[in-house]
Amino acid sequence: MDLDIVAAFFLMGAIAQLLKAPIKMPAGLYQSLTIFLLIAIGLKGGIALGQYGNIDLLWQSLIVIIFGALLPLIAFPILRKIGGLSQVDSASIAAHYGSVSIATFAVALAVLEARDIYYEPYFPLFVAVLEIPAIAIGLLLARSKSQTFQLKKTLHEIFLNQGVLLLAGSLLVGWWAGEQSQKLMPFFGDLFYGVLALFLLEMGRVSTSRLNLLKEYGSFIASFAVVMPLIGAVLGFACAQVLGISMGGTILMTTLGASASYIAVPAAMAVALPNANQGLSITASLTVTFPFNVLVGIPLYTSGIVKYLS
Amino acid sequence: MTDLLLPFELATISLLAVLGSSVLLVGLPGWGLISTALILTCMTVGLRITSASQSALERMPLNAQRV
Repeated sequence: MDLDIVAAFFLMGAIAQLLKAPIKMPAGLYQSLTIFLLIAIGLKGGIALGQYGNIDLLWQSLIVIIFGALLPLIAFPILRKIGGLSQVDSASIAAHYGSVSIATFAVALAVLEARDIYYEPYFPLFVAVLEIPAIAIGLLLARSKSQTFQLKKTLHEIFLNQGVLLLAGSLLVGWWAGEQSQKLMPFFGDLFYGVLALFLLEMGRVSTSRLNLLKEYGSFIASFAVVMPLIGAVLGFACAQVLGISMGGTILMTTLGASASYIAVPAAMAVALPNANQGLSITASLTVTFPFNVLVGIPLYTSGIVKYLS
Repeated sequence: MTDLLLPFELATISLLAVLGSSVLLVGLPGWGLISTALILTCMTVGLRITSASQSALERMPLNAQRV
Protein backbone atom coordinates (compact mmCIF):
# COMPACT_ATOMS: atom_id res chain seq x y z
CA MET A 1 0.00 0.00 0.00
CA ASP A 2 1.36 3.43 -0.95
CA LEU A 3 0.02 5.24 2.11
CA ASP A 4 2.59 7.50 3.75
CA ILE A 5 3.18 7.26 7.50
CA VAL A 6 1.81 10.79 8.12
CA ALA A 7 -1.37 9.93 6.18
CA ALA A 8 -1.74 6.87 8.41
CA PHE A 9 -2.21 9.26 11.34
CA PHE A 10 -5.08 10.90 9.45
CA LEU A 11 -6.67 7.49 9.06
CA MET A 12 -6.17 6.80 12.77
CA GLY A 13 -7.98 10.02 13.77
CA ALA A 14 -10.80 9.28 11.32
CA ILE A 15 -11.27 5.68 12.49
CA ALA A 16 -11.25 6.75 16.15
CA GLN A 17 -13.98 9.30 15.38
CA LEU A 18 -16.02 6.73 13.43
CA LEU A 19 -15.79 4.37 16.40
CA LYS A 20 -17.09 7.23 18.56
CA ALA A 21 -13.84 7.25 20.52
CA PRO A 22 -12.43 10.60 19.38
CA ILE A 23 -8.88 11.47 20.40
CA LYS A 24 -9.28 14.69 22.34
CA MET A 25 -6.66 17.32 21.64
CA PRO A 26 -6.21 20.45 23.77
CA ALA A 27 -8.32 23.41 22.57
CA GLY A 28 -6.34 25.65 20.25
CA LEU A 29 -3.82 22.96 19.29
CA TYR A 30 -5.24 22.73 15.76
CA GLN A 31 -4.66 26.46 15.26
CA SER A 32 -1.15 26.22 16.74
CA LEU A 33 -0.22 23.33 14.47
CA THR A 34 -1.57 25.21 11.44
CA ILE A 35 0.60 28.22 12.32
CA PHE A 36 3.62 25.94 12.76
CA LEU A 37 3.10 24.31 9.34
CA LEU A 38 2.63 27.64 7.56
CA ILE A 39 5.80 29.12 9.09
CA ALA A 40 7.86 25.95 8.57
CA ILE A 41 6.90 25.67 4.89
CA GLY A 42 7.33 29.41 4.28
CA LEU A 43 10.70 29.56 6.01
CA LYS A 44 12.09 26.59 4.13
CA GLY A 45 10.85 28.04 0.84
CA GLY A 46 12.33 31.45 1.69
CA ILE A 47 15.79 30.02 2.36
CA ALA A 48 15.62 28.19 -0.98
CA LEU A 49 14.38 31.32 -2.73
CA GLY A 50 17.49 33.16 -1.55
CA GLN A 51 19.70 30.38 -2.91
CA TYR A 52 17.96 29.45 -6.16
CA GLY A 53 15.73 32.42 -6.96
CA ASN A 54 16.06 33.82 -10.48
CA ILE A 55 14.18 35.92 -13.01
CA ASP A 56 12.39 32.84 -14.42
CA LEU A 57 10.38 32.72 -11.22
CA LEU A 58 8.50 35.83 -12.36
CA TRP A 59 6.99 34.28 -15.47
CA GLN A 60 6.53 30.98 -13.69
CA SER A 61 4.54 32.78 -10.97
CA LEU A 62 2.46 34.46 -13.66
CA ILE A 63 1.55 31.07 -15.17
CA VAL A 64 0.70 29.79 -11.69
CA ILE A 65 -1.60 32.79 -11.16
CA ILE A 66 -3.39 32.05 -14.46
CA PHE A 67 -3.71 28.42 -13.38
CA GLY A 68 -5.19 29.50 -10.03
CA ALA A 69 -7.71 31.73 -11.79
CA LEU A 70 -8.74 29.00 -14.23
CA LEU A 71 -9.82 26.43 -11.63
CA PRO A 72 -12.77 28.40 -10.16
CA LEU A 73 -13.92 29.22 -13.70
CA ILE A 74 -14.24 25.47 -14.33
CA ALA A 75 -15.81 24.68 -10.95
CA PHE A 76 -18.42 27.47 -11.09
CA PRO A 77 -20.53 26.22 -14.07
CA ILE A 78 -20.55 22.67 -12.67
CA LEU A 79 -21.93 23.93 -9.37
CA ARG A 80 -24.33 26.44 -10.89
CA LYS A 81 -25.66 24.66 -13.99
CA ILE A 82 -25.48 21.03 -12.90
CA GLY A 83 -25.74 21.34 -9.13
CA GLY A 84 -28.36 24.09 -9.30
CA LEU A 85 -26.69 25.96 -6.42
CA SER A 86 -27.19 29.69 -5.98
CA GLN A 87 -24.77 32.09 -7.65
CA VAL A 88 -23.18 33.08 -4.34
CA ASP A 89 -22.76 29.49 -3.08
CA SER A 90 -21.36 28.36 -6.44
CA ALA A 91 -18.86 31.24 -6.47
CA SER A 92 -17.81 30.61 -2.88
CA ILE A 93 -17.22 26.87 -3.42
CA ALA A 94 -15.46 27.59 -6.74
CA ALA A 95 -13.06 29.92 -4.89
CA HIS A 96 -12.28 27.16 -2.36
CA TYR A 97 -11.41 24.79 -5.22
CA GLY A 98 -9.24 27.34 -7.01
CA SER A 99 -7.18 27.94 -3.90
CA VAL A 100 -4.91 25.42 -2.22
CA SER A 101 -4.65 23.43 0.99
CA ILE A 102 -1.43 23.86 2.91
CA ALA A 103 -1.95 20.55 4.75
CA THR A 104 -2.36 18.62 1.47
CA PHE A 105 0.80 20.32 0.21
CA ALA A 106 2.62 19.33 3.42
CA VAL A 107 1.57 15.69 2.97
CA ALA A 108 2.84 15.75 -0.64
CA LEU A 109 6.15 17.22 0.60
CA ALA A 110 6.42 14.44 3.18
CA VAL A 111 5.82 11.80 0.51
CA LEU A 112 8.46 13.30 -1.81
CA GLU A 113 11.04 13.51 0.96
CA ALA A 114 10.29 9.96 2.12
CA ARG A 115 10.87 8.71 -1.44
CA ASP A 116 13.86 10.98 -1.95
CA ILE A 117 12.33 12.70 -4.98
CA TYR A 118 13.81 16.11 -5.83
CA TYR A 119 11.49 19.13 -6.11
CA GLU A 120 12.08 22.84 -6.61
CA PRO A 121 12.77 24.00 -3.04
CA TYR A 122 11.20 27.43 -3.64
CA PHE A 123 7.79 25.80 -4.26
CA PRO A 124 6.15 27.50 -1.23
CA LEU A 125 6.28 30.69 -3.32
CA PHE A 126 3.80 29.11 -5.74
CA VAL A 127 1.63 28.02 -2.81
CA ALA A 128 1.44 31.61 -1.55
CA VAL A 129 0.76 32.88 -5.08
CA LEU A 130 -2.02 30.30 -5.60
CA GLU A 131 -3.92 31.39 -2.48
CA ILE A 132 -5.00 34.73 -3.94
CA PRO A 133 -6.36 34.62 -7.56
CA ALA A 134 -9.12 32.11 -6.77
CA ILE A 135 -10.59 34.40 -4.11
CA ALA A 136 -10.63 37.33 -6.52
CA ILE A 137 -12.26 35.22 -9.27
CA GLY A 138 -14.77 33.84 -6.76
CA LEU A 139 -15.81 37.37 -5.84
CA LEU A 140 -16.15 38.34 -9.51
CA LEU A 141 -18.32 35.28 -10.14
CA ALA A 142 -20.53 36.14 -7.17
CA ARG A 143 -21.01 39.72 -8.35
CA SER A 144 -24.59 40.64 -9.12
CA LYS A 145 -26.73 43.75 -8.87
CA SER A 146 -27.82 42.86 -5.37
CA GLN A 147 -24.41 41.71 -4.18
CA THR A 148 -22.19 44.45 -2.81
CA PHE A 149 -18.81 44.04 -1.22
CA GLN A 150 -17.10 45.91 1.53
CA LEU A 151 -14.08 46.47 -0.70
CA LYS A 152 -11.59 47.51 1.98
CA LYS A 153 -12.48 44.68 4.33
CA THR A 154 -12.54 42.17 1.47
CA LEU A 155 -9.12 43.20 0.14
CA HIS A 156 -7.79 43.01 3.68
CA GLU A 157 -9.05 39.43 3.98
CA ILE A 158 -7.74 38.44 0.54
CA PHE A 159 -4.18 39.66 1.05
CA LEU A 160 -3.81 39.67 4.82
CA ASN A 161 -5.62 36.54 5.94
CA GLN A 162 -3.67 34.36 8.35
CA GLY A 163 -2.69 31.76 5.76
CA VAL A 164 -1.30 34.20 3.20
CA LEU A 165 0.27 36.44 5.82
CA LEU A 166 2.14 33.69 7.66
CA LEU A 167 3.22 31.88 4.51
CA ALA A 168 4.33 34.99 2.59
CA GLY A 169 5.80 36.57 5.74
CA SER A 170 7.89 33.49 6.60
CA LEU A 171 8.94 33.21 2.97
CA LEU A 172 10.26 36.78 3.11
CA VAL A 173 11.92 36.24 6.49
CA GLY A 174 13.62 33.05 5.24
CA TRP A 175 14.73 34.79 2.04
CA TRP A 176 16.08 37.79 3.94
CA ALA A 177 17.73 35.83 6.76
CA GLY A 178 19.31 33.14 4.54
CA GLU A 179 21.78 31.11 6.57
CA GLN A 180 20.61 32.74 9.82
CA SER A 181 17.34 30.81 9.44
CA GLN A 182 19.27 27.62 10.19
CA LYS A 183 19.07 28.60 13.86
CA LEU A 184 15.33 27.96 13.72
CA MET A 185 15.57 24.71 11.83
CA PRO A 186 15.87 22.38 14.81
CA PHE A 187 12.33 23.53 15.60
CA PHE A 188 10.74 24.28 12.23
CA GLY A 189 12.72 21.69 10.23
CA ASP A 190 13.40 18.61 12.35
CA LEU A 191 10.01 18.61 14.06
CA PHE A 192 8.06 19.15 10.83
CA TYR A 193 6.93 15.56 10.24
CA GLY A 194 6.04 14.95 13.87
CA VAL A 195 3.89 18.07 13.92
CA LEU A 196 2.34 17.13 10.57
CA ALA A 197 1.41 13.71 11.98
CA LEU A 198 -0.26 15.38 14.99
CA PHE A 199 -2.05 17.83 12.71
CA LEU A 200 -3.35 15.03 10.50
CA LEU A 201 -4.52 13.06 13.52
CA GLU A 202 -6.68 16.04 14.46
CA MET A 203 -7.75 16.58 10.83
CA GLY A 204 -8.94 12.98 10.68
CA ARG A 205 -11.15 13.64 13.67
CA VAL A 206 -12.42 17.02 12.41
CA SER A 207 -13.25 15.88 8.89
CA THR A 208 -15.01 12.69 10.03
CA SER A 209 -17.04 14.60 12.60
CA ARG A 210 -18.61 16.55 9.72
CA LEU A 211 -19.68 13.46 7.76
CA ASN A 212 -23.30 13.83 8.90
CA LEU A 213 -23.50 17.14 7.05
CA LEU A 214 -23.09 15.30 3.76
CA LYS A 215 -26.56 13.78 4.31
CA GLU A 216 -27.93 17.28 4.58
CA TYR A 217 -26.15 18.68 1.53
CA GLY A 218 -26.74 15.66 -0.70
CA SER A 219 -24.65 13.37 -2.81
CA PHE A 220 -24.02 15.95 -5.56
CA ILE A 221 -21.60 17.88 -3.39
CA ALA A 222 -19.71 14.66 -2.54
CA SER A 223 -19.45 13.78 -6.25
CA PHE A 224 -18.27 17.30 -7.07
CA ALA A 225 -15.70 17.18 -4.25
CA VAL A 226 -14.20 14.04 -5.80
CA VAL A 227 -14.38 14.94 -9.49
CA MET A 228 -13.03 18.49 -9.10
CA PRO A 229 -9.70 17.36 -7.57
CA LEU A 230 -9.24 15.02 -10.54
CA ILE A 231 -9.84 17.90 -12.98
CA GLY A 232 -7.50 20.11 -10.93
CA ALA A 233 -4.86 17.39 -10.88
CA VAL A 234 -4.91 17.04 -14.67
CA LEU A 235 -4.64 20.82 -15.09
CA GLY A 236 -1.91 20.98 -12.42
CA PHE A 237 0.04 18.37 -14.35
CA ALA A 238 -0.42 20.37 -17.56
CA CYS A 239 0.68 23.56 -15.76
CA ALA A 240 3.83 21.78 -14.50
CA GLN A 241 4.64 20.72 -18.08
CA VAL A 242 4.32 24.34 -19.25
CA LEU A 243 6.57 25.47 -16.38
CA GLY A 244 9.12 22.79 -17.26
CA ILE A 245 9.71 21.81 -13.63
CA SER A 246 11.15 18.61 -12.15
CA MET A 247 9.28 15.37 -11.48
CA GLY A 248 8.87 16.27 -7.80
CA GLY A 249 7.66 19.74 -8.79
CA THR A 250 5.15 18.14 -11.16
CA ILE A 251 3.81 15.98 -8.31
CA LEU A 252 3.51 19.07 -6.09
CA MET A 253 1.75 21.14 -8.78
CA THR A 254 -0.64 18.26 -9.52
CA THR A 255 -1.41 17.99 -5.80
CA LEU A 256 -1.92 21.74 -5.48
CA GLY A 257 -4.31 21.69 -8.44
CA ALA A 258 -6.27 18.90 -6.79
CA SER A 259 -6.43 20.50 -3.36
CA ALA A 260 -9.07 22.85 -1.99
CA SER A 261 -8.64 25.48 0.66
CA TYR A 262 -10.28 25.26 4.08
CA ILE A 263 -8.27 27.87 5.96
CA ALA A 264 -7.58 31.00 3.89
CA VAL A 265 -10.62 31.06 1.60
CA PRO A 266 -13.31 30.42 4.24
CA ALA A 267 -11.97 33.37 6.23
CA ALA A 268 -12.04 35.63 3.15
CA MET A 269 -15.46 34.41 1.99
CA ALA A 270 -17.02 34.88 5.42
CA VAL A 271 -16.24 38.58 5.10
CA ALA A 272 -16.79 39.09 1.38
CA LEU A 273 -19.81 36.82 0.87
CA PRO A 274 -21.62 36.57 4.20
CA ASN A 275 -24.71 35.18 2.44
CA ALA A 276 -22.80 32.16 1.13
CA ASN A 277 -23.30 28.87 2.91
CA GLN A 278 -19.87 28.39 4.50
CA GLY A 279 -20.80 24.94 5.83
CA LEU A 280 -21.34 23.67 2.30
CA SER A 281 -17.88 24.77 1.07
CA ILE A 282 -16.02 23.54 4.14
CA THR A 283 -17.83 20.20 4.14
CA ALA A 284 -16.88 19.67 0.50
CA SER A 285 -13.25 20.69 0.88
CA LEU A 286 -12.53 19.30 4.35
CA THR A 287 -14.75 16.23 4.60
CA VAL A 288 -14.41 14.90 1.06
CA THR A 289 -11.60 16.51 -0.94
CA PHE A 290 -8.93 16.57 1.78
CA PRO A 291 -9.29 12.88 2.76
CA PHE A 292 -9.60 11.92 -0.92
CA ASN A 293 -6.33 13.66 -1.75
CA VAL A 294 -4.45 12.36 1.28
CA LEU A 295 -5.60 8.74 1.05
CA VAL A 296 -6.23 8.25 -2.68
CA GLY A 297 -4.97 11.21 -4.71
CA ILE A 298 -1.40 11.78 -3.52
CA PRO A 299 -0.35 8.08 -3.71
CA LEU A 300 -1.91 7.92 -7.18
CA TYR A 301 -0.43 11.19 -8.50
CA THR A 302 3.00 10.26 -7.12
CA SER A 303 3.09 6.73 -8.53
CA GLY A 304 1.56 7.82 -11.84
CA ILE A 305 3.94 10.72 -12.39
CA VAL A 306 6.99 8.72 -11.29
CA LYS A 307 6.03 5.96 -13.74
CA TYR A 308 5.17 8.38 -16.57
CA LEU A 309 8.14 10.74 -16.25
CA SER A 310 10.93 8.35 -15.33
CA MET B 1 -34.99 22.76 -15.80
CA THR B 2 -33.65 19.26 -16.47
CA ASP B 3 -32.40 17.52 -13.37
CA LEU B 4 -28.73 16.97 -14.07
CA LEU B 5 -27.78 15.84 -10.59
CA LEU B 6 -28.26 12.10 -11.09
CA PRO B 7 -26.53 11.98 -14.52
CA PHE B 8 -23.61 13.95 -13.04
CA GLU B 9 -23.32 11.62 -10.06
CA LEU B 10 -23.55 8.52 -12.25
CA ALA B 11 -20.96 9.94 -14.64
CA THR B 12 -18.63 10.63 -11.69
CA ILE B 13 -19.07 7.09 -10.36
CA SER B 14 -18.44 5.59 -13.81
CA LEU B 15 -15.38 7.78 -14.32
CA LEU B 16 -13.91 6.71 -10.98
CA ALA B 17 -14.61 3.04 -11.62
CA VAL B 18 -13.16 3.09 -15.15
CA LEU B 19 -10.17 5.21 -14.13
CA GLY B 20 -9.51 3.02 -11.08
CA SER B 21 -9.64 -0.19 -13.12
CA SER B 22 -7.41 1.25 -15.86
CA VAL B 23 -4.91 2.50 -13.31
CA LEU B 24 -4.84 -0.94 -11.65
CA LEU B 25 -4.22 -2.59 -15.01
CA VAL B 26 -1.05 -0.53 -15.52
CA GLY B 27 0.17 -1.43 -12.03
CA LEU B 28 -0.68 1.81 -10.22
CA PRO B 29 -2.72 2.19 -6.99
CA GLY B 30 -6.30 2.26 -8.29
CA TRP B 31 -8.16 0.66 -5.38
CA GLY B 32 -8.72 4.07 -3.81
CA LEU B 33 -10.63 5.27 -6.88
CA ILE B 34 -12.71 2.09 -6.99
CA SER B 35 -13.48 2.34 -3.26
CA THR B 36 -14.47 6.00 -3.72
CA ALA B 37 -16.79 4.97 -6.57
CA LEU B 38 -18.42 2.41 -4.26
CA ILE B 39 -18.87 4.94 -1.44
CA LEU B 40 -20.40 7.47 -3.86
CA THR B 41 -22.74 4.78 -5.24
CA CYS B 42 -23.96 4.00 -1.71
CA MET B 43 -24.43 7.72 -1.01
CA THR B 44 -26.26 8.42 -4.29
CA VAL B 45 -28.63 5.49 -3.86
CA GLY B 46 -28.96 5.67 -0.07
CA LEU B 47 -29.71 9.38 0.15
CA ARG B 48 -32.29 9.14 -2.66
CA ILE B 49 -34.07 6.23 -0.95
CA THR B 50 -34.09 8.11 2.38
CA SER B 51 -35.40 11.27 0.76
CA ALA B 52 -38.09 9.34 -1.19
CA SER B 53 -39.32 7.52 1.93
CA GLN B 54 -39.39 10.79 3.87
CA SER B 55 -41.46 12.57 1.24
CA ALA B 56 -43.82 9.57 1.03
CA LEU B 57 -44.29 9.81 4.78
CA GLU B 58 -44.99 13.54 4.51
CA ARG B 59 -47.64 12.94 1.80
CA MET B 60 -49.40 10.37 3.97
CA PRO B 61 -52.48 11.66 5.82
CA LEU B 62 -51.84 12.32 9.51
CA ASN B 63 -54.27 9.63 10.80
CA ALA B 64 -52.60 7.01 8.57
CA GLN B 65 -49.22 7.97 10.02
CA ARG B 66 -50.54 7.41 13.56
CA VAL B 67 -51.66 3.88 12.62
